[in-house]
Amino acid sequence: MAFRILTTALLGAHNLINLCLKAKRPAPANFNFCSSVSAVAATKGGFVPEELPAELSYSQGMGYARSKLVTEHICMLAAKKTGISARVLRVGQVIGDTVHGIWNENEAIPLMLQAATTIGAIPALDENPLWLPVDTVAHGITDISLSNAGGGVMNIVNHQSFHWTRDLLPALHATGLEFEEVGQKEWVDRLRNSNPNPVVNPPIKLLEFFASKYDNNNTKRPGLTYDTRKARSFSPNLADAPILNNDLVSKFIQHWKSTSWTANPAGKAHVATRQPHLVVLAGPCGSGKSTLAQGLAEKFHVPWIEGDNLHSPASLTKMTNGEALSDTDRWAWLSKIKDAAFVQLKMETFKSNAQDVVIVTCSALKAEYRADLRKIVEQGVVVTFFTLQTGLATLKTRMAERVGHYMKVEMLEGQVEILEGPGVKETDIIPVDVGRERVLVQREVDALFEDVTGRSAKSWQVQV
Amino acid sequence: MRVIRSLRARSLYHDLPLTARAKIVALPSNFGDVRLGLDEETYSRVSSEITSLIHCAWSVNFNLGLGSFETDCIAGKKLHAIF
Repeated sequence: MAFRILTTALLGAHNLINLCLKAKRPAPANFNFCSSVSAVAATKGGFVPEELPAELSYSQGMGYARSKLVTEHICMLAAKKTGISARVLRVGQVIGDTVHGIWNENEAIPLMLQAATTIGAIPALDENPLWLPVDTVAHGITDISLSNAGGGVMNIVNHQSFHWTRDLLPALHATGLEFEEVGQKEWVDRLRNSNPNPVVNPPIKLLEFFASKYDNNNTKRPGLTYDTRKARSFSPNLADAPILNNDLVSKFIQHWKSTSWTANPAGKAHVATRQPHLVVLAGPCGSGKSTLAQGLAEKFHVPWIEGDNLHSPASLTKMTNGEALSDTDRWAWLSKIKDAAFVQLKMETFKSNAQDVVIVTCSALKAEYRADLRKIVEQGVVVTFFTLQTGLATLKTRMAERVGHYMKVEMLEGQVEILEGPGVKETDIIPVDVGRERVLVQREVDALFEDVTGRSAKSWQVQV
Repeated sequence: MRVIRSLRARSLYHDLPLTARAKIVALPSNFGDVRLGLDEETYSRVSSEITSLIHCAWSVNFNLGLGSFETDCIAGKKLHAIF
């Protein structure tokens, strides 16, 4: 049995390593296998070096951990036999990213923290975690993969720990989260006696797992020490890995509060409340805003406002004369667009069965113009921007093909010059490569439009 | 579309520049196959240009036994290659 498993495993790794060996370059491609600390979590002696564990029994008992350990051995065997740079990157607990704080709410730790809102308590553990944000891990793995490191094992965990009760819990309190700090056994008891409905009380889903870990008096958990010197020497990002702080913790909490931790006292399945939705097709002249908007409007039966029709006569004269618009002209224009969109959305809500979505085409070249349009959010409207992107050459060709448009080709250069790409916080933007075949672009935009608005072309057709 | 949806769910897509997005190629594959489930031309192109391979796809199911990982993970499912 053990042999059969090993040979099958070897076959799979063999195929991948073969691919690296076939590289038609002076050296084979390097091979980077992401393993898990669970492969060595039962290490005796408390210290985990950056090498294969001395005993196979050092892995956790579950199949997941054992399969990782088997593959670690395959990698090191390949390195020895072929000279390939095969690296085992042993990753520990990964947490949300440092920019947006996005962390899957259904994982064990997020569920433990969510217990603050459902049972009003978080256990006061005596643990020193070595968590790493997911973006730090990703940068670390890329650093090492692109480095000149030879084959070998590296531990991808934080080299600086923090204390669960002395550091994490105060950071949680600082976000305004209210909860009691209780002993681990009491916490499991409270969870066991709490609402069994996982919709209202998600942490109950992992009751068995939490009980196996914490329903005991074994409060002293010294944890393992990991050597990380090799990993840090090849990765500047791991060497500078951030340690958990109030800022990071508040990003996670904000993320969960705005997504999954919403109050649902009735315990009913989540019913999407239909919020009015403004979809802006943005991009310079020639990027195909109107064509795409027309396609969407017909397919999804959604009203479409052509932003260009809302320019004041004075602005139109300016543009016809090849004169650029001033910011004052633009603010007035954006304000008109918002008003028109809002009025249209109001009208849509009066129609029966109408899911109120409205499309607006508007260049929205600068971040501040988008920020201005985004203010409609304050009136309870959800906004999504599709920014249509392509090179200047493509835009010029398309403009030259047009007849009777007020925009001059020369003005296009001015538009592209002031064009500002999406900022890191502008997560309501979906960029679209419009340099491709029109059919492909429309298909992609259709699918994404369906994703964000929840409106389906099919259901509309049935209604007809 | 799966790649776009996955990147969007993590807020990684909106500010990825056009040139960076153009480098992403997703190929349905099967690691259990000697040619990874790719057609000959694709396999030959990948193998001639590859410089680095990151194997980071794995089933996260703690209830499975070791045997279950043979085909899905160790034999493989996804390929993430950097050119």
